[in-house]
Amino acid sequence: MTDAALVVRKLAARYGRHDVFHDVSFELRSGQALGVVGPNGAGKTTLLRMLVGLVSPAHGEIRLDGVPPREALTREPVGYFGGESTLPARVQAARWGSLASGDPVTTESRHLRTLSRGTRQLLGLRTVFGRQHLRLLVLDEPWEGLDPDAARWLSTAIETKRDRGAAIVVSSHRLYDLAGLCDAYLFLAHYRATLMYAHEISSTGVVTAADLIEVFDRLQGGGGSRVS
Amino acid sequence: MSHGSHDSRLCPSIEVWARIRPLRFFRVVSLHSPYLLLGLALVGILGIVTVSLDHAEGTYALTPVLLLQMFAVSSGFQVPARRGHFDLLLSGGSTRILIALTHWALSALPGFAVWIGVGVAELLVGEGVHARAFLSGSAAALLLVSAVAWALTVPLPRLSGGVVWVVTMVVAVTMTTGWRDALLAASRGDGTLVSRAFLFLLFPFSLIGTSIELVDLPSVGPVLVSGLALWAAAIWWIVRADVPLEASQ
Repeated sequence: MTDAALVVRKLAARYGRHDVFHDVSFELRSGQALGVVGPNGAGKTTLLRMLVGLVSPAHGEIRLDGVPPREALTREPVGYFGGESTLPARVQAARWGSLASGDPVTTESRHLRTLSRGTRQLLGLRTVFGRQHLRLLVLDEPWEGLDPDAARWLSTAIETKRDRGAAIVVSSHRLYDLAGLCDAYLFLAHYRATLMYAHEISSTGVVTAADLIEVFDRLQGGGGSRVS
Repeated sequence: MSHGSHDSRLCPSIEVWARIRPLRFFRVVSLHSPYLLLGLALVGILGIVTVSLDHAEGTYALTPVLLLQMFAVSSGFQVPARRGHFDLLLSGGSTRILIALTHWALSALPGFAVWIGVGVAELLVGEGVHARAFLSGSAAALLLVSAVAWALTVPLPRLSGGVVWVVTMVVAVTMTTGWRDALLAASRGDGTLVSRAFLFLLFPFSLIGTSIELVDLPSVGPVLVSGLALWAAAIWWIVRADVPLEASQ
């Protein structure tokens, strides 16, 4: 028996005949955060969409409170944001912002396509964060395009959701933002997954971006230019 | 290690969480092009004017409505879903079956509304009798178009169902004289059971303003059942489908 909110066992993904990753396993309890790190094409987005039932794994299983994600979605509030490029263009910003909770997160009357990339990203995030009592929050590259103020708001908002009991999975190339926020980190590289807890990465338990870069370079086999 | 407890579990009696409701979502994320809606509104107004001037013209008033409905109901699901446009809804707590049914109903709604508008005008002008819009043949034609064009477009880009249908119609009458003659014979009430079934499938307009008699059932029935089966398959497809992002593959 486990008290984990999210359990992932021997997960594998494929695009056609091409293996993306395999043997991904981890558990996440309420109030814990997992960071997902990997180069482009490593399968981070696919993994995150599997967690919320949008994509089926080629192999392995996912359980959210003991049931598959699609079933869990109807029982537990789950938040997912895949980035500003997933927002529909011809929608008024204020109307989109009121979808999650009914309360508008902005009074902006322009269509989403006319907003800057960073503004769309922030609106998309604020809409998802507007949902109450989240059991699981999954964020794909959430800091992309945000200005420093918005990035700080996001980090604080993630911590708040985590402290209120949400299990959080967040992928990012921005290791400076990701470091210190997570209890564990999943590194995807060369079709393999390596799970490391914060105390395994840093003896103090406080992980810095430099720690993450060092681990990632080691797992990548040396060259450190792919992740920054 | 835990940073806190799950707040909704601490207070289960006041636990509330809002699902993203499909009806509300698709009102915000419109399924239709505004130009198509404008077109439907115009042919609806034109239809109402037509039947108001001459009550016998109901068939001519409804034909363009059915043609535009072929395109209006072809709203498409997979393409916007794979761009992530429906992520908030698909991960928002509503069941896929509810999402699929709402998607179809709202896709068909503008055409239905215009159709009913013309029918009500017919009823008013005809003092309660002979509303062609509400005859069984007319209803069958509207149902077939609304089910099949939507289902065809679920895995395809917007408008595909309407385009496929119109192209098939044109090909059917221009490809061979044999086909054309068979369809013409069927439209006159002659022809074989199969040719009458094909006429209904390819030219559902031929049923507008008619009543389906018992003798028509062997030709109309299988087409309607097939159309509804295709519709059910599309619903099932939405319920089961994976939605990877285009950009992540």
